[in-house]
Amino acid sequence: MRVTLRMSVVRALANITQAHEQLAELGNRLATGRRLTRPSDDPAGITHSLSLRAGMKLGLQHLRNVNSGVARLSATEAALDALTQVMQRARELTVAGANDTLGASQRVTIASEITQLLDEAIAIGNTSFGGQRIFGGHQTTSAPFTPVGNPPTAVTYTGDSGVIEREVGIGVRVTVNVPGDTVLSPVHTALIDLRDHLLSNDTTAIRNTDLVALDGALENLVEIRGNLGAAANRLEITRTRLEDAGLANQQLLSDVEDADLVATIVDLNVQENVFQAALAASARSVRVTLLDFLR
Amino acid sequence: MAGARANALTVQAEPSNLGYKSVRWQSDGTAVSIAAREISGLLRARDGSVATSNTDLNTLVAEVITRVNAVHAAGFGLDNSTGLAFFTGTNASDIAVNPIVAGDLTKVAAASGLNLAGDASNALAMADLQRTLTMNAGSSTFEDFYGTAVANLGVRVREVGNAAQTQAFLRDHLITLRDAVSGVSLDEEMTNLIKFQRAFEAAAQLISVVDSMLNTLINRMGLVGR
Repeated sequence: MRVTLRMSVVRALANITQAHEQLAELGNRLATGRRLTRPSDDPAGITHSLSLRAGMKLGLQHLRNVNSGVARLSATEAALDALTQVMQRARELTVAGANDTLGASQRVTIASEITQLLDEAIAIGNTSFGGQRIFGGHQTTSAPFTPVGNPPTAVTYTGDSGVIEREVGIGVRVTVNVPGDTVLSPVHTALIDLRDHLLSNDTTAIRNTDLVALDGALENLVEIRGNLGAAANRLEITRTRLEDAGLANQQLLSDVEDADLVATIVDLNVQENVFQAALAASARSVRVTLLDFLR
Repeated sequence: MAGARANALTVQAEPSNLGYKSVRWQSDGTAVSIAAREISGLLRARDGSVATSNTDLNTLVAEVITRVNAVHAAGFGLDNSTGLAFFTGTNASDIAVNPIVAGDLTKVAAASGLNLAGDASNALAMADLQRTLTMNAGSSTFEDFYGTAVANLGVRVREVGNAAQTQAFLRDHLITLRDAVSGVSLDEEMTNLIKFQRAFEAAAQLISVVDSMLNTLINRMGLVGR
């Protein structure tokens, strides 16, 4: 085939352009550290990368939910711990009040302390955390416990039995509240009865009814705290799992999206040589004609 | 154009084609058929590949708006408001959070009933939409649909890139073939140049020889009669 100057020039230019394009592409990969910058770089990889990213976002949200749930459980736990102390003190006083050697006036003194403990138990029932009442079920904006009369003769519960949940995994929800009527109402009732019996000097009732009621409420409390502790432990395990999964996802995403730096540098060197060779070859084939030898 | 007369062109927005403009004859308003060259390519990209991606995005966003609004309207806000849409708009070009909700966050319908301040079950139901098979007649989730749309765009871009490269190779090859026949080879031309130069030199030499012969004939002969 006849090879004309124009052919050499067109071909040389095409070769140089192609080599330069590939060099720029590798340079871009190296500079950004990423293999995937546009969907067209790897249409199959981008689907994978998108779902990994979505998974990571979801994992982060679940982690935030876990943290919020743990905080809420801790606040509930702390409130119930205070309630346990109240009840233990109330039990001591009950045992003391049941003692036949005590006189009526001394029982009145004990009764006034029980009233204080009752006030404290009501205050615990109305605990707020982050501006929300934690023992009101779904009724988080108003105080769930209201004493009736002064001194209180009853305590009404205006909350409900609503369950507050945190989503900590796909389709996994953990309950992070305890409706106050299940845990606090027996305590309030027991304390009011105890106070009344102390005031009326009814040692039989104190011994037979109130002590049993207090023990029952305490047992109930211990059981509920156990459940809360179990939920908190579970959330801690979930947190560890989510953090591990986050790292694993990061790794996978990096495998899909990031450039292998070592391989890219090697490729870049090879491509640089190719580019230089293309330039050199073009310079020679275009420069040399018969003219150069006719003097 | 014909002589001094010209039929002017005009552009017109097409509501049926996402409001994109089309080229029309000013005289009768019919569409101008542009079948080749650069403008045709641009129009085809706009109404073909790009339009497909636009449609995908609009389908997705429209479904998100419908689904989220349906769940949101069924719920109750902190101020017991209900029946409100969470998003306004109909597709990707005009989606926005309902200004009524955005302006008063107590209207976010997180609860499933009246007077349930701590209830988030409706919000969880909205969050569950991400895992519901809502797209493609109930066969894929929002995320699946979006992933597929992005991958399809990537595939189309790659296809077009490959086709462009193939066409460029083809064009270069054809130019090479044409030049092989009609192009100017410097080597060939120089060779011819030298060939003709030498022929000219040879012819000139012939003349010079003839001249010298005539010289001999005229000037050196016949001295006898002088």
